[in-house]
Amino acid sequence: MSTEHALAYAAFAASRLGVPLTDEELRHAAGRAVAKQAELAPLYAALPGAPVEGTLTFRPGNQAVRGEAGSQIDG
Amino acid sequence: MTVMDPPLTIADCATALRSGQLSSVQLVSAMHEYANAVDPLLGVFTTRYVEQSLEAAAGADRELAAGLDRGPLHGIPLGIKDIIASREGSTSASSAVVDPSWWADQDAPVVARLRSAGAIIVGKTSTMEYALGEPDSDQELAQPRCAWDLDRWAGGSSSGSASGVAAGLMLGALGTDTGGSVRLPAAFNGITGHKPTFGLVPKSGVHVLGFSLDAVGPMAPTARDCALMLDVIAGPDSSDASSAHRPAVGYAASLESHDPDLSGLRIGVDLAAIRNREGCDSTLLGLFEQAIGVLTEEGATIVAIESPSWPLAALSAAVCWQVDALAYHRDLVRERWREFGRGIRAMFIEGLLVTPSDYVVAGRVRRMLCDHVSATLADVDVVLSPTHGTGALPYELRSGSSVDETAFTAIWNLTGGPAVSVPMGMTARGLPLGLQIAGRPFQDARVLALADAFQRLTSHHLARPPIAREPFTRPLAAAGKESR
Repeated sequence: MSTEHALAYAAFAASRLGVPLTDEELRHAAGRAVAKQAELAPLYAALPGAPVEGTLTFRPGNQAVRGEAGSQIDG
Repeated sequence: MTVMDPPLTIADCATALRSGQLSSVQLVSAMHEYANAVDPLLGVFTTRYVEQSLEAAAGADRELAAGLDRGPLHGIPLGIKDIIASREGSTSASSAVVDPSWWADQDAPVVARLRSAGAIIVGKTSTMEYALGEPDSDQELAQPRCAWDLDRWAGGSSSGSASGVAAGLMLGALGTDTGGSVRLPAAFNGITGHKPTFGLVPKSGVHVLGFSLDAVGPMAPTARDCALMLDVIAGPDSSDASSAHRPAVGYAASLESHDPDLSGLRIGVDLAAIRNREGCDSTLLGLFEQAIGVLTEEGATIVAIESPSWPLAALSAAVCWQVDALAYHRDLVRERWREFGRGIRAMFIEGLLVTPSDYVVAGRVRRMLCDHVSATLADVDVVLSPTHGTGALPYELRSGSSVDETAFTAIWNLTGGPAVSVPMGMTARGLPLGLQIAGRPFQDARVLALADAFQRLTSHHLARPPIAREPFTRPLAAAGKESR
């Protein structure tokens, strides 16, 4: 991501949420937008091993029903 | 009891209160006197409730004298992390951005339970801003320091709760734990901190950091003390939608009253992953292996396991709480951005940079990690690791929100099971290191029992920071009390 694109992206993300960043914070956010791509890359790299399950009232993969002993509702 | 041998644990103080060797008023007065002397250095409290707590202590003494005994916490001074509501005053969350009407004049259910059990609320303890942003020295707020070294950070985010217990300004405290915020400061300050199973302790009246990660937990000198507190605060509450429909099970009663016998206990350890982790203190691995040796000598079996990727877990949890925090504080962020400290503003920026796909991917990785941990805990009873790779960090390097700092701890928030940190020794610099014991969901009694067994077999938890020793004796001496 180029510096210009990073700045534009950070400005868009902040304005969409209504966060009044200063110019300095905007530059920081742009830098973090670039760095964060690399930092979160391991999550994407691990994805092939992740189960393909949505958020339901039960877990299709193992048939465990939410609220049963030991189950945890994830978010 | 001589003035050089004051009761340092909830359990011992409970005994002393009932034998007449000590009154709650003396105990609470003594702790406020220590706080007068050392809190300007430590930054434990955001607010102290001196008059209210002394009045409550007098009431507790009257009740005991009249034969009304509310249980082991009766007359015991406790601190409350200042993101948890208590009726004595407003909740500051260590922030300048406060809504004074939030839970005004009300107790969070956990505080109400402690109060009903006779506990004395001595004050609110400092935290990172809303348990997220590091203390901002530009703001006139408590700057919490490690009780063992005032040039070091107490750990976050239950900072004041940990250093306050370590310094002897309270006998126990409530903390909250989203990625390690009970266990990390407990480890840094040489006390015991327990993150209960998700949903075991109600979270109403507690500011949110991670909706599906947060847990309110006890912090105290020993695992037995944590169990005594958990006995009171655990159990369902209809005001919390994520509260588990499970009754408390008598955690303190489940601890052994005799020498531990760990025969048959299967302990999972990924020694290779710990050995290969970079940046750890040079004493960490040796102390961890010594801790394992203590348990195997009593009959426990060590089972080699392959841990899920700790960095991946910490990353998944961080994405979750960065977004959750932004969602929870959305209105204040829009309206009062400049009033927040620098640290929490930086964390909000992290949240707004998380893309929808990042969030979904983090959730899917979380499910994968849950499956991994479930499979591991089908074969072993508990999993051991260090709580953190180093002792308390120098104050200028403080963060508490950094992903890497939660490497050993966040996995148990993501997957929901209980985890306790107990002291396991000291670095060459004399800083405490923590041993983490984690287990299956709702088997809090098992991890606390093993933590208690470890403390029966070792003396690491008895070490007190220098700042705790001298001031602790003076008020009791002034009170002229002697016993034992």
